[in-house]
Amino acid sequence: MARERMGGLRTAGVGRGPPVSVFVDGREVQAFEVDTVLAALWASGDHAVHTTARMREPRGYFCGIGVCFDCLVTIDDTVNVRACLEPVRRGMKINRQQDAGYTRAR
Amino acid sequence: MRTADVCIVGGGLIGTATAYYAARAGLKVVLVEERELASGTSGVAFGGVSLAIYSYASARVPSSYVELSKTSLSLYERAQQEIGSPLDLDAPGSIDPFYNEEDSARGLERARGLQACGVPVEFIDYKQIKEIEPAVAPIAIKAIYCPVDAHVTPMGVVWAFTKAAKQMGAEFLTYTKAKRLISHGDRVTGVVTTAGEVAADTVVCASGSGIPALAAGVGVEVPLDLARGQMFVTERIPPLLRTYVHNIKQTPSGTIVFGTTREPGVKDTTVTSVEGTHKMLKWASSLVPALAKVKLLRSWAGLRLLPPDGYPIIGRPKGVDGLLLAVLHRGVTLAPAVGKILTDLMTEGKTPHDISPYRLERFAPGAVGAEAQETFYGT
Amino acid sequence: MRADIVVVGAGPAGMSAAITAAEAGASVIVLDEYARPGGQYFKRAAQGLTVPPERLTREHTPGEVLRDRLRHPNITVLSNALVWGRFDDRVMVAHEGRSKSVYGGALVIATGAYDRPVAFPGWTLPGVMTAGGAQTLAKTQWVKPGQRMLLAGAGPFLLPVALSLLRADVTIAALVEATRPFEWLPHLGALWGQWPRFSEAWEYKTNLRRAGVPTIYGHKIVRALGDKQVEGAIIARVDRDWRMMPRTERTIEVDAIAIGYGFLANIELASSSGCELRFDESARTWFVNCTPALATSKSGIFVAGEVTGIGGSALALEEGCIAGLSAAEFVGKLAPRTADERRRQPMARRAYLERFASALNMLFGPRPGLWEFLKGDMMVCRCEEVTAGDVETCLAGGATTTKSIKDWTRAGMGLCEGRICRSMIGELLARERGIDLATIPFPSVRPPIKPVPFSTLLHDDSQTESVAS
Repeated sequence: MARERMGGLRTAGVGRGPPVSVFVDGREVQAFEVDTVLAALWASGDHAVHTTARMREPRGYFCGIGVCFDCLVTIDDTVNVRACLEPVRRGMKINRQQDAGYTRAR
Repeated sequence: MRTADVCIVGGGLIGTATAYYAARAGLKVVLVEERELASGTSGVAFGGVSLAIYSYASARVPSSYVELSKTSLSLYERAQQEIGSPLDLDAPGSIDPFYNEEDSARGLERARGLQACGVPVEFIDYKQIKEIEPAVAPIAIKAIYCPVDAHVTPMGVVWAFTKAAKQMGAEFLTYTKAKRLISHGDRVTGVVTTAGEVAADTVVCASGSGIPALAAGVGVEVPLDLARGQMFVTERIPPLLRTYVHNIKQTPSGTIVFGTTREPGVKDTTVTSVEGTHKMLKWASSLVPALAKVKLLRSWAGLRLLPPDGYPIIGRPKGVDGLLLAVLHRGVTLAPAVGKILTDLMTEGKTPHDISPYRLERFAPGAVGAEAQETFYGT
Repeated sequence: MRADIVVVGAGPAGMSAAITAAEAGASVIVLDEYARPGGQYFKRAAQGLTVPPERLTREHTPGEVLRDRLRHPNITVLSNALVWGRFDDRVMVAHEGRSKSVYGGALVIATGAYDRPVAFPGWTLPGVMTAGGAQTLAKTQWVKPGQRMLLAGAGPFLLPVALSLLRADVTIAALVEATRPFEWLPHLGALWGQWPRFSEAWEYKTNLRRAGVPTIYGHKIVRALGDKQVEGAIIARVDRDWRMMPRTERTIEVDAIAIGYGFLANIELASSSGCELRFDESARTWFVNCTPALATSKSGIFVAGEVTGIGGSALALEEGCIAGLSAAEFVGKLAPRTADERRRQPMARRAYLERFASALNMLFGPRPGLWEFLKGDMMVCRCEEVTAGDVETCLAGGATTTKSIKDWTRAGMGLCEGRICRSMIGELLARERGIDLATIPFPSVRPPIKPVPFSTLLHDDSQTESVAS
């Protein structure tokens, strides 16, 4: 499904307050102060928020309430942050991580 | 009623290693384990396979102990080739850091002693530590570096030996408690278990903290002190540590495992403590500052098994036939060697390895509790 | 920090317990993991979002009322506060980058529940989420999980989720319900007299009808399609056991899928504190065992809400009341006689509501077919990427317990600490060994209950240990 159809994921008519700029993989993305990192990513069409360590599969958003640890991103230098709970900050550096681990042969 | 050449009591590192070597030597093996394999000390150990550790209090290096460690490491290498996963032996070398001048001085003595025994160690300063392990902070002023040291995941080893032993015909009975030894005169002839009797030419007691009670049933006193240790593991992080540092390492999956507290006489392994957590985290993060941002994932506790002088108890107790004992601290390092030695004793009645320092009779009766917890360095 | 009563969780049960206890004269500290009180049921739009009133749903106002009552002078609420362990007499909480000790005379655990994870082909694709997750994104951030979604599962929770999605302008291609209406008939007896629930359901169904959302009964999702994210879904007819019937597959084009198959309770804190658990056959999962006054097997620890059994918000509110009274009694703020009197009504209402909840659990609880995909390549442990086949291998190698499966495969050793995979590992184990799920104990839990950064744990003013050598 083309990214164009992904557009417009923010419900219209909801007052979102001041906008804020964050960086996703170095790219400037416009979000809102009230957004969680996940909401900012999701609304911009990026649904694969990280790739797994072993099988290198894309993962997105699963439980939404901070239980499953599936929506992991790297924020500034910290790995494995749950995007669904983390509020955005002005200038935040969000990176869609390649999950750490299993780099040594088993 | 089962019959076997050997009945092994205890499904941890020692028991399963013995099962492997015994089955390999063609013996009919029955192993009984009270709960799940590796449910005791073996399941909670750090996993270092080190040539550079020995009894600290003595500050001398008993060469037989070093030989035992060397033999064990090469047996691990062979087992890795023969069995493979989940044994997962990794040999990136080890760093044993010292934080003050007093410990450093003792460390230097130990390094010299180890070198005299042919163990390839170097006594290094912080500058050299940083070259090998950039993540380590300068609170480590000196260290013993052993480039051939290895580590494993202890339960992986247990499962690997189990898998291989089973393939060679060994029988494993879990959730089967050894209630008492069966003896006729001064000969042990089997074990009464919750799954019936097992008659065997030899019974091997490898059940860790359960050994004293079992051996007492045939009049053998085994002095063993127990000290709780709390250990910790983090989330998976990008590569941070190359070697393993005593006692903190990065596992093949990328987690950081570290520990351990020393709590003599404390036996409750169902809980960990705030104090223990704080102490260990503080130490780990001052040694490896990058850990500050890393998330702690789990804590657990286990029991160190400490014969009074810190050295293993291996072999046949005097005056009792058909019984072999093996209980020791540093079971991870020595398991393959012990398993091989016990198998030698069963198949040939003797072993090429010098185990005279480890006979039970070296302890006077009532030796329990004598400074055991202080004898072993660091852990 | 110290108070008469410590309440963990600020959902309906926790808020109700805190308010009841405070009104009985006790000082209360509420520790809640999320940014605002409300838990799951009363979650609301993030602070700063202005939502037109016509988009709001029925629980908004009661939620606001409760949050307001939580501002009682006897209550201190710590939000973004994660309880990471309980030790002896205190609870340790991670809050504002520090680890704090919280002492209380009594503890009320009201930690709620989360959607039951169910594996099926494609379930790890971005765009497949739980029903609760879909609702959360829509309701708290007003971001659509997808433009056109499939909602699949079993039970009435799908209805309010559907409404939340519709209010956020999501198009719902279909609501797929595994049961068939005629299956509900035998339970009509238990549902009799529960008119408020019926009228609620009726309202939801009317909304769906008006929005043109078809409900497809007797079907379940059997595959999520897509390469990097969801592009479609395949559903199929199921038999009474929810097993897929061959050659009944049908493809629906959607860009997100929400699955709702009931809930699992957050009993980790209670379990690690030593509280006895009980296995519920129809919900097929573990809860905290409790007395009618909601005391647990540990003196001074009480429970309320979904951790005692899945029963919905009305039941959670009553249980919160009961637990608040019992905790207040325990710390001496209420005489036993008074506590008994005041408990009478909520206990009666609880019994009434439990009848309904039990019927729902029996009707919509997991059926064997839900696990039919647990084999071979099916991912079971999402964190550590362990498949059903990996588990089968270690069972064949002699593992017999969840702990040994975990030791061997690492399933359950990831960041979620087994919350997502443990029930499926249990089902696999039960099936392969031919034993009852009830005989497989809930895995033991050690601190931290959820992952906490070193820096937070080190910022603990109660510890004065010097650096170990």
